[in-house]
Amino acid sequence: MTERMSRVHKRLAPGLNGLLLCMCLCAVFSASLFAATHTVHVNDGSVPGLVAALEEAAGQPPSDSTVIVLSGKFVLPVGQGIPSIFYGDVTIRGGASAAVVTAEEGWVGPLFAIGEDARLRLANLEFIDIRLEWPGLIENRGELEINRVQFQKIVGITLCRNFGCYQYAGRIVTNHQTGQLRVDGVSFIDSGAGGNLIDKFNFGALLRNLGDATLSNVQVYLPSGLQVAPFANEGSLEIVNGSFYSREAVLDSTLLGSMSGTGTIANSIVVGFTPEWCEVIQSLGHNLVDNSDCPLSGENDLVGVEADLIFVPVEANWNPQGREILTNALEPLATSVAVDSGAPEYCTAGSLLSSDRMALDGDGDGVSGCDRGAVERVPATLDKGGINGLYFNPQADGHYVYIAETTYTTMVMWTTFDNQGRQAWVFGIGGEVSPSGRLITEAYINRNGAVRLDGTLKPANAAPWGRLEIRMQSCNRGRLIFDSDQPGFGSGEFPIQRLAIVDLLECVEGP
Amino acid sequence: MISAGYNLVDNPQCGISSREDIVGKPAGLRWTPVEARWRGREEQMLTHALVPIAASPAVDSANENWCPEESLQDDRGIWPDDRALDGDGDGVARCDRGAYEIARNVIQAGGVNGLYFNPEADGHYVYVADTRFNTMVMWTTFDANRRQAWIFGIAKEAVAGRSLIADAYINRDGRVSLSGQFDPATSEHWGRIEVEMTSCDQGQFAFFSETPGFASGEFEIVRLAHVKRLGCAND
Repeated sequence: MTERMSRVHKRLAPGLNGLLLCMCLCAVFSASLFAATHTVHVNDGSVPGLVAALEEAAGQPPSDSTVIVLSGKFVLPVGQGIPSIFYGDVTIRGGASAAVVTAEEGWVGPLFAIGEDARLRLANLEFIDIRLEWPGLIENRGELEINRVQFQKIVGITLCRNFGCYQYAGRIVTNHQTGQLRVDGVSFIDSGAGGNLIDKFNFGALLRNLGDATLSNVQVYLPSGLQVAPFANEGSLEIVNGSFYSREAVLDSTLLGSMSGTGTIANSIVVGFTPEWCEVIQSLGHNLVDNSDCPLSGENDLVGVEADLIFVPVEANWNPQGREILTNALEPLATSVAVDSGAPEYCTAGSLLSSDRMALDGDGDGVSGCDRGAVERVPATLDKGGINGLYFNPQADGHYVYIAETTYTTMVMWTTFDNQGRQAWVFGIGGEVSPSGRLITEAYINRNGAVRLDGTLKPANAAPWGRLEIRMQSCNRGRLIFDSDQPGFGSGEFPIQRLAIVDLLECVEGP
Repeated sequence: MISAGYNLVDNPQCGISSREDIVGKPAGLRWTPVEARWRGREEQMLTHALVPIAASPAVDSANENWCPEESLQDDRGIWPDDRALDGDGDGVARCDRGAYEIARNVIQAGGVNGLYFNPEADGHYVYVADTRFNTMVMWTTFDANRRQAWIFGIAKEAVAGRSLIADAYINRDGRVSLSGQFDPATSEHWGRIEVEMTSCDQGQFAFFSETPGFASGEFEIVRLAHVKRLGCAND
């Protein structure tokens, strides 16, 4: 019997195995058959369309994924929320035309809430001019990936009570304990202003992380008067290739509030922040910090060194369809120590402005290398007379700089005003423009001249004024640094942007 | 007066409006010493004439039917066939409006760029930048009360590579604090600037303003510096 059974079994076994195999394959096939991807296009900035698309995504089986492609300007009405994403895989990305999310005068509630079993990917989008109510723009308890996104002027609403007015932090992301957050190629500009003074260290004006977060190629450019740390970390935080700039350092303006988490930072630039954050994060090296009190001591860390950055308009090639976003980026000048001194292991990790980071010769010394920070400097060739021309201060129009590379020397004429608001002009005479686009001149001011009311001229005398230094970033942008001890003048610097290029002279930008 | 056309009147309130009349635009004339050779006199005579600069709208814009064979500077007709000359350097010879006909004098493109000063009153400078879209003039100077002042003019182009009439502006209300903070400035119309280079290195600068603290006048300018890579040659 046993033998017979055994023979039967042997005869049946191939068929049974086949059946089992078939069942397995069917199961796999069924799973793959039902794990569909749904693509929804929401055009013309239709907010109801976006809400409907998310409701439709919520109605799909958990194994499905939904891609929502946005185009147009989405103006959120007051108090607008968006359906939560409790499960499934949702991508919201910009399409071929611009996709901007903004808000009416007023505020919006939490815009995106991602559940523990959900995954949301935001890509190629711009969030601009939104005022937020507590707790902020995005609440993540699942997986959140933010890739090639710009947040600009995202601030908290102002509340007034009996004791006065204050502003919520306007936090953009809260990553909860179960949250997995990946942020890559993202720019935060003029966001997170204000804040609750009482909780200033715990808030995290841009990000509060209680889970697991990685920030790479992230730029933060903060408004003056910030009263809360842009980041709060009570979980695990990894920062790579970041550029963080506080425009006007105020008391207790630290980068990283909340001391209870663990974190690492590498290949990043931090400017204008007080140094408390340095004690609660481990350096993996190649960071550049301007504050000399920061005890960061990783390999090749540079502390107490001027970063030499310039905040300039750039085009970010974020969209696979070729749409370029006009944004502003913290680019290192050719003279910056951040240029060509980055860690090679982070060289291929992309940058804020492109998905690839090539090692370029940003300082013009003939040796290519990646830069520290979120932006890779693209070298410019200024040796064809390209520096000649007229420039202005984009942050305060009406002050001009004229640069003329003459046969014998290079001259800089700065037509401006003194501290009393009187017209003034100062000229610098220097040597040659260096390959890195730097020019240092001795500056003079002329006095006692006149054009009399009969139209005749009285000669003037030149007197030493101080120093004018030009540091060109590219053919069209740079910085003027001035230093004077003459009455009515001081020291400082400002960006210069080209108004006009001299005809017949060329200036070449590119690797 | 009835206009038969092709007149140039600087006063904008003048009511003539016949064909091709130009009203309300600066004539760009200079009271200039010239050598004239008049009919009946063998020798040249030194006199003065109202000479249009090359950028003047009078140049090469007269009605050809009324273009005489003679001009103020030579009523015998020093040009055998026609008075018409290519005064604006565009390659087409036409007569000028008015009594004086200017000759072709062209500075190669780019040659006007540079820094100039007045040799009789050093310390005032003029910068000319011929850009891809227009030509700009920056005059760093002083007002009548010996305060520093700077005026900038913008013209469409340097006619014949050497001559321009520019609306001029002055910026006000800017400020740079001792700590390096900037207040932006605003521009207001100041008057007019005219530049006429007679050669690569010499020319005349004229200014016209009714702004308090300023006046009108003209002075010689001499080149201080050439822009590197941009030579200058008379064509």
